[in-house]
Amino acid sequence: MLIGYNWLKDYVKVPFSPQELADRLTMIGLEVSSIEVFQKGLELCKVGRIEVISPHPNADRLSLCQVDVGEKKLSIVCGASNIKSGDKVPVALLGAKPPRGTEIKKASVRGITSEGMLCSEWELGIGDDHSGIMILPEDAQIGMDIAEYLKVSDTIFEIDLTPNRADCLSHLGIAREIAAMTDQIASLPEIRFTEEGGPIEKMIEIQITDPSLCFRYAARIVTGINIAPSPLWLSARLESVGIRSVNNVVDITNLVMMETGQPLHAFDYDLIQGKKILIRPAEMGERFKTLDGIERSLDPTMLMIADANHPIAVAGVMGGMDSEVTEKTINILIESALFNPKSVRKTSLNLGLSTEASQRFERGIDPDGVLASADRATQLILHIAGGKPAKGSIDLYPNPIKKEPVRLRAKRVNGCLGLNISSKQVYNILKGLSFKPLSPAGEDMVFIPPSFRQDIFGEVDLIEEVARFYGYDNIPTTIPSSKIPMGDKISKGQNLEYVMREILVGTGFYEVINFSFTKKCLFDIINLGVKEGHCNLVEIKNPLTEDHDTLRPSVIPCLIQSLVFNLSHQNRDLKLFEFGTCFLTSQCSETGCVEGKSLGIAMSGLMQGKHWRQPDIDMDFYDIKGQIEFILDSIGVKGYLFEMVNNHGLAEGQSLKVMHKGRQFGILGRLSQRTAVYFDIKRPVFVAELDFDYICGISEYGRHRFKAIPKFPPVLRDMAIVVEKDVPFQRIIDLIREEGGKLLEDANLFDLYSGKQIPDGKKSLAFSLTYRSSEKTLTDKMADKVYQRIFKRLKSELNAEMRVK
Amino acid sequence: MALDIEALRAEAQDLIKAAKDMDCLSQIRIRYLGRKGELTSLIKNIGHLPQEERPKFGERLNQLKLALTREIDEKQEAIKKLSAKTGTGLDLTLPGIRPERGRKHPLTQILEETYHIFTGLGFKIAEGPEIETDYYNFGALNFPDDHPARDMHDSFYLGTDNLLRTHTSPVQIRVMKSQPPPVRIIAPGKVYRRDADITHTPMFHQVEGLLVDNDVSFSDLKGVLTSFVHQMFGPDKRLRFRPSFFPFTEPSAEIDISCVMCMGKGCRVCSQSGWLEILGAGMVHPNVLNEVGYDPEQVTGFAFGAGVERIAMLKYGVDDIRLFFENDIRFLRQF
Ligand SMILES: [Zn+2]
Repeated sequence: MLIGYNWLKDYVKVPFSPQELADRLTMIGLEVSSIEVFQKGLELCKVGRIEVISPHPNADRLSLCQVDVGEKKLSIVCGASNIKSGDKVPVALLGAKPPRGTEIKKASVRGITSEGMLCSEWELGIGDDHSGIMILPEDAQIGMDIAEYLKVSDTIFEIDLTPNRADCLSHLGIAREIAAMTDQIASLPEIRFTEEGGPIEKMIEIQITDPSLCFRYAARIVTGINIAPSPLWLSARLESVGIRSVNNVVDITNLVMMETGQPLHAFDYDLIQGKKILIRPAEMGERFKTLDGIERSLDPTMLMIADANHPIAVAGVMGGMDSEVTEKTINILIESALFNPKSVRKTSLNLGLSTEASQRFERGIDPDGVLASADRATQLILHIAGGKPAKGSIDLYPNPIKKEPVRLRAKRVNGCLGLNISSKQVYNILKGLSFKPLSPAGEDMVFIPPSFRQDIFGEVDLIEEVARFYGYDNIPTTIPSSKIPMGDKISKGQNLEYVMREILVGTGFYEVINFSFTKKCLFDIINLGVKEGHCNLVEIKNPLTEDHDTLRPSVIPCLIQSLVFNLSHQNRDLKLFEFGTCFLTSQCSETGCVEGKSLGIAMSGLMQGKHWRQPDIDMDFYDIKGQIEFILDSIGVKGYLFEMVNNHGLAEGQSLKVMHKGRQFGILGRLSQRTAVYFDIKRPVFVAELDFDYICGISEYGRHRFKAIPKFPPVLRDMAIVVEKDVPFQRIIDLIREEGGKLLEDANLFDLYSGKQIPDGKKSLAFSLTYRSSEKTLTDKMADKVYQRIFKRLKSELNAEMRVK
Repeated sequence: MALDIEALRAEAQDLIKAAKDMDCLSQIRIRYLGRKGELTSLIKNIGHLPQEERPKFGERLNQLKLALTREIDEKQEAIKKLSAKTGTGLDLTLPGIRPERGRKHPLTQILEETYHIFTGLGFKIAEGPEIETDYYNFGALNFPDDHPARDMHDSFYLGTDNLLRTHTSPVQIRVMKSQPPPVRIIAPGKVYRRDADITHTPMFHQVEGLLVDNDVSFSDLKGVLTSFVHQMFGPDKRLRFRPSFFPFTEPSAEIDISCVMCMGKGCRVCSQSGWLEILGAGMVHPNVLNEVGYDPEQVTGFAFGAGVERIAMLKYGVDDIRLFFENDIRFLRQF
């Protein structure tokens, strides 16, 4: 909403500078987001006085003027003949861009330098006369801005209005707020004119078919007007608040809207067929060409203004081409109405057409101002465009809107705000804001809100008004006295997430955050979704772009995109993770969707960044597997297993699912060739995803129990065996553990080798075994016995041989 | 024998000259002067000499011992002087081997700091779904149907009635419906609005807070938020509360802090105003309390909300919100 500082002075005294006013408005909830000076394109145009005028030495028809523009004297070449020394004239200084004409630059005219331009009315955009320089009256002050001199300059505030304050979508509305803070009353200029024409009832018949859609409809008719361009002050005023000037009548309707907030519409009276106006819903499929020249298809949700034969306006949104006021118009009908805000909003949304008028109707306008605005427009039209007003006005108001009284208890004001102010102070603030008291100041008060306040319904609305004008800054700052509820402030899941982040970050991982939506087709390429029992993707009905049309069921595709982004910016050796919500459809939820949290990991490049001390080691499958083992072990997840998995996003033979009690809760592996090609990644990438919600359920993090430190020393033995290459490690270790029993405390693979010295098709594994008894000191003999037992078992079941060094 | 001594001297002197570090030098010392060293073994040979030659031989050996000791000591000093610059044989100027550390996302860091501040003030962290129904996202929060207030939240729809939450306020409704007052929570999380430009991303993060109990007032709201701002941005920051509008609170406020860039003098970041908008807040609207089954005559409350990206941008001086979601390591590494 644009508001002119000088414009406000038509309705209220403004005892503040523009900056001061902006600050004060901001502090009562009318946030001024910018302040700009409007000069109607007349910046750098000043009042100047011709001191000396002499003929141009090299051109007969030109003259050379010495012009005083206040701060300096300029020498300007001029071709006009109507000037003499001593004249006061408009001067466009260097850099000025007068409304008609080009930017003024220092120029040499026939060998003489000219430092500006003397302007005609035409160049200033004031009139059509460009025969000579505009001569200003004697009293014009040298050096003054022309815009200011012509009274077309203003300081314009942009106010970010909150949607509740419909009343402030007008200069009068803002003026009322200023009045309340300065103990004044804001008002429109006095409206007075003589109704010289015939009675309006004889000229038009108006009917509202559904009073629930049109609350009030007022009209005035003016005959014999003269449509013309608007005078400078009028067009400048509209332009200063961003409205294009059309002609005097249309401009006046817009001016009154900016003044009172009441949208008006002027019809060409002679184009209203049957001299009848009907306010009715549109018929299905009815067609209508709005003022913007677009033909629109209507439906019965839209309220129309129609004449005897066809629609002439979309109620509260926009008029039509067929009844538009043009230069041929002689007689006009001015409409001032109050439409149902919800109906206008629906119509505007359905038509995809939002206008200054519809925005005001949607938010709610002053029911009591409807007729006054029509009268105000009539007065201005008579003044500017001439004509005769018909006698009387139409004012259909079938069910007058009555404001309900609102109760206010002084105790509630103080309780809610944390204040201790008197009921008299509360009473005075509300009275200053035009709330009508039905009771004297006291503990229990009743007020009737002013008609222009559509946002006041209950006690709390009044409390807010008191707070606004008491000043938020004057409310004290206190610490709540309420007791802090018992119980943990952070849930188990929140804590676990924190711990897992710490672990990941401590092991060199960077956390990323991606949008929860991405493009659907990605999930044809890779979908690791670890939630069981659901399969369908959740699609967004109105996505911003195709790239964001689906809610992700897995964080992996987004993580890969982050990886790709970094690779393409020469960031190598990446370890990324993301905690994110994943979504799938579900029959058994209120919204038809389930969501849950996943932890995703993606890594590629060197396991440790390049360093001078050690050789480069590329990440491989065991790094991602180890990372997952490490995380799960660190947060007390027990009893998980890995199983082979087939997922087309991952490389066959290099992927595993993570299981717990027969349920999958994670997956890991190397990206398949196909996926890598799709993302255009040349190097191996390893990914993993874990169902965080499931992990929360099974994690025993923080539930450590102390075990006594062993009393007896261990016996250490290494065992190196040679087995067929295809015997899985898990088989071997399971057998070792089983056979080792209670005495085998630990078995750790420390070497894996095949090649020289090992027969073809075989591999050698070396374990360090730790034996210990909790009851006594183990002798070498006892340990050797277990060792032999283990080896015998490996030999018999796996055909293992002892490796000889 | 005499020859032996001279040969030994020459050999040892060559080695001492060539020695490059302390290790080497101490090996030389052991080899020649040690208890089982070359000189000791020569002394053992003294018995093979005729009686009259023995003192002379002994003296020469002693001289050699003194000479070598001196030369080794001198060399040691020389190496020490040299290695004062380069270390005891190690190039101390080589970079150390550092463990690699990752980073939490800057938004996570802000969130964790926020948790820390508010749990310290007795607030519990509450979470809720990101897919919401129209009722929880709007209806229960006093957004009338077909009202322009809804234009403040352009939503992504998943069905006629389901949408991605546009704020974390639905969590407040869910918590209040699930328990009687008092309530003292913050609700952090992702929210979604159909907006994308330099200052808006279609997904962003919010932290909202809610305190409902007997006798909670606007002045308490000022107290809690002042405490938050001072802990998050520093105790030198001034706060400005000014009236605003949210359907679910009344009176409503927007909270500015004195500009973190110019300390309130006015700069580009604060559009010369000296103030930066940082929080929205207000007293919970009685319609909302009624909706969740609380009695507005018995309890009052306040709610507030802030954009996590906004806080991070101001705190760290990030000038483009999109950087948070590009996940460029060179960006993440800076936090
Ligand atoms: Zn600043």
